[in-house]
Amino acid sequence: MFEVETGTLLFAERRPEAAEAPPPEAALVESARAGDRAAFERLYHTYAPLVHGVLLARVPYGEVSDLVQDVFLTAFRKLGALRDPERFGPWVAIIARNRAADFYRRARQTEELRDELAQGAGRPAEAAEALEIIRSLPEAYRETLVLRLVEGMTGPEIAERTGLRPASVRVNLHRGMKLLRQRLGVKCGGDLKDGSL
Amino acid sequence: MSDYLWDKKGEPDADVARLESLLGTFAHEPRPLEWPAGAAAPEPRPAKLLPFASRLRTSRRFAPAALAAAAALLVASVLVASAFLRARVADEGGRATARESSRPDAGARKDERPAAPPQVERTMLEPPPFEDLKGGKKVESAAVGNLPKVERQRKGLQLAAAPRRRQRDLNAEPLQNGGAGSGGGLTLEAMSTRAGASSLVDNARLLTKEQLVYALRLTGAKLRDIREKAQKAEARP
Repeated sequence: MFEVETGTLLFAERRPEAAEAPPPEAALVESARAGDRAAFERLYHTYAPLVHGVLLARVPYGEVSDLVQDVFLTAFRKLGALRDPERFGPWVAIIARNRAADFYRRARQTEELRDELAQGAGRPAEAAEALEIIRSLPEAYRETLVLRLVEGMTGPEIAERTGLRPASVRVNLHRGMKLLRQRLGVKCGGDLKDGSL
Repeated sequence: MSDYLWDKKGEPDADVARLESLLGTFAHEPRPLEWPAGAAAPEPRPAKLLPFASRLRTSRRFAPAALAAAAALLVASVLVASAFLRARVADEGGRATARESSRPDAGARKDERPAAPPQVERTMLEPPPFEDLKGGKKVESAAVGNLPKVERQRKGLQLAAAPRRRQRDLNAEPLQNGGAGSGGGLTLEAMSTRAGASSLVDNARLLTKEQLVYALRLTGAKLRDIREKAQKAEARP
């Protein structure tokens, strides 16, 4: 069983079929470059959770949906600048990070954020509080934890879409979760097992 | 090895499962992409100046070679630039003097007649006065007078040619003009400019050299004269 799993893992990491045929994302990128909007919409549906998670780790929940649209429209406009079509995920994640930084730059110049936008109206207070604690973690941990706990991606999926190494994602997940447990425990004055945050 | 936090396999972690259910309310809700009215097609790919540059940048084999080539190119360009600057600084004075000396040369070629040396040169060319050393006797004229006729003519030609050569070598225009026009005075204007000062030094060096040559010839002539007289005296009974 162990040998079979190991063999599968090695096979999965080598990905020999990937070398022969380009991944479907690359073909979609090429079509979108030619002006095919349907192909770009498929890319949008595939990578929207990634962009949403990257933005949610940085900006208030109420702003995220509009910024996701903004990021993808920017990506469509600048698709010609993407060198490697197989790395659309990492590329669009960089655009999302830059857009989040730009959001704060503009927000500082215009007006203060409203509380309900910042907290996430209609969501449980506990959830908003947990999200706030995740946002206070170091950047490497918070993005990985949001993608795992909020967007529901697995570790290998996070690695594949962000372009990070699986080992790095695994380390970030475990260290981030450990730190999150500590902070939640300190904040709530007890452990998480009692059912309250 | 698999764990629930990593790939959602195995026994679920209670904390992770609770956080998942709690935070899942913030997850992305699929909605169609809203294209703006004036959404244009993607911008064309920017033109590559060097098509192979990206391959060089990503290739592990060629990256060190490219770095080494760039470093060599940088060093070579620095060396060339420093050599050029050094040569330029060295030639700066030479070019200035050549530009200035070309004018009197053209004038001298027109009339083909050696101009009279300026007064200042003539005074510097003249051998030191021997009167003080020899008690008023003009040794020089006596020595020249004792020379044979052919040799005297040759010496006269040499003496006439010397100022002509010096006239050609004169570099400083202010010195020449001032010397010829104002009776050979060394003007402050001539000495204050860099070209004038350097040409003055060159002239002084040339004049000193010619004075030395002149003195050596004179001494040689005198020695020959004395030897001849001694031989005649011995030959007499």
